[in-house]
Amino acid sequence: MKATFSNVVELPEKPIDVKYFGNLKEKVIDSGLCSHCATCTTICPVYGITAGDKPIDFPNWEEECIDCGSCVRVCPRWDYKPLSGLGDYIEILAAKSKRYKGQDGAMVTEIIASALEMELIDASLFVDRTEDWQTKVVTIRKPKQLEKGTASGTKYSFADVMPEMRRAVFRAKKGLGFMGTPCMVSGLRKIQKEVASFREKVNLAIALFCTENFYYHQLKEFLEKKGVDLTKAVKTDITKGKFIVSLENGEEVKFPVKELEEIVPSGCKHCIDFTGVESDISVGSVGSESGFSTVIVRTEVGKKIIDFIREKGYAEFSEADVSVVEKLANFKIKKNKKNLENL
Amino acid sequence: MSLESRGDSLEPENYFGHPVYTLENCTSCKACQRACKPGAITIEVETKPDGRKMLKKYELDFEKCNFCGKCAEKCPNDVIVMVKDFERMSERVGKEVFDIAKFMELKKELKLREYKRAGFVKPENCIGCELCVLTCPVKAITANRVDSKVEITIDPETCGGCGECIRNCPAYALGFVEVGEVST
Repeated sequence: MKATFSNVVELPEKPIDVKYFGNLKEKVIDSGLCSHCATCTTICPVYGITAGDKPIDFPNWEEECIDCGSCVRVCPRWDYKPLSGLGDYIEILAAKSKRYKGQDGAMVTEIIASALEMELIDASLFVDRTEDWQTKVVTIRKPKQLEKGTASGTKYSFADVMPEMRRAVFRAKKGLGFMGTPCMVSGLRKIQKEVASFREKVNLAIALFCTENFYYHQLKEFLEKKGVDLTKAVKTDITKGKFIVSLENGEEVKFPVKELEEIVPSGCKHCIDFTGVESDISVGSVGSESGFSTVIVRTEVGKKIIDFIREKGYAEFSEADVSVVEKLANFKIKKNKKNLENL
Repeated sequence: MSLESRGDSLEPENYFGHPVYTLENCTSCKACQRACKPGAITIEVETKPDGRKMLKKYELDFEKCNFCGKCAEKCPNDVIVMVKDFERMSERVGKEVFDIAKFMELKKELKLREYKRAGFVKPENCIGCELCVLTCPVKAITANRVDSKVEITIDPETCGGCGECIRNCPAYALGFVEVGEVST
């Protein structure tokens, strides 16, 4: 085996003369571009970068940051090239799992369960929630773990998928499944391009259609003002421009999504990717009839899983209305393009 | 000092040698610490939020050691070598507390376990994050900044071959190399 004891690495460019985290802070976080994808938290060698229900930060970075530049290397918005539209795809379809129940067709759950069954992956990250709708990221190893009632359904607040991914990638023996918002998938792709363990260990990336995401405490506070107690909610959804919270007692609280504008995080206002164009499979609600999920199959890996589901008869398939997905994708571009231009 | 003149109850049949911690292949599993009845071994491992382990301290107190050899027996990676030479070893280690640095010196003297080193097997993968520098229990790895470059260097004389940097490297840039296989 040929090896060396010494290696020279080119460091990323540094626009301002402070440590790299200071650069990331000024250029991405404080400028309002940061999408809270938290990819930077998965590589920081001193474990100093924090995510959670607040903007990305590195308390005391002036002292503790070792200035290695890794956070800047993996940040998808450092050298931001916004992606948008439907993206490349092999097929678009509507599907409904016969095995799992969920918000729409429970297809994220179905895809992960099938990928585990196919042994394409041996674990997957999954966004679950607590009773009061805080996101909770779990690592799923057996499809049985997906049967919990709170597992499926949209949560509309930031989830710490990335910090959990760091752990899962370090421990993974074979392959890992990943689910997240389009920005998280972009973060994953960037770190996969840069860092071998993520490239070799993450085999499947599922993106969720996304118009925006929220900080949990802000969404909770906002809903409280609307008289909604999140602990009593059974479902949250955005349909036809309305944010809808369904409660245990059957009641529904509806209001225009527009009212939420004041708490939309700045990073989301700089995003034009509705469908998650860098995923293997993207899944969302719009574009299919009630009870079905829209599934965009983009890669061979994605196709293998969908073919497996079809073959096994695990889901019912139907046609998706691509024009509706396109309309939403275009709406996001139209809404946020000006913010990008103002950068 | 001879075994008989030690003045305690150690019988020759109970002397399995002096344990020498070589660090080579050590995964910080603490099996030796658990196996040590007299509590002579102290290990401190820092576990990071993602499960990465960093060995911070390894100490063996020769005053407490009863030379039973259980530590070497229970070690899954053959890290501890029992050196059976009571007189010579007693003179060398006495009743001192040996830490990693002292053991590395002793290992060199006794020419034990000098087969493996960490090296860059896929240098093109390295992103210069310096996690290896932070992780190395014997500070064999250094980072040197020059302009817009960083040079990461492993000192093969200091490296103890534990492989902790290899296991922790997120870029899969490092690997074990047999001594003599490295081009400098």
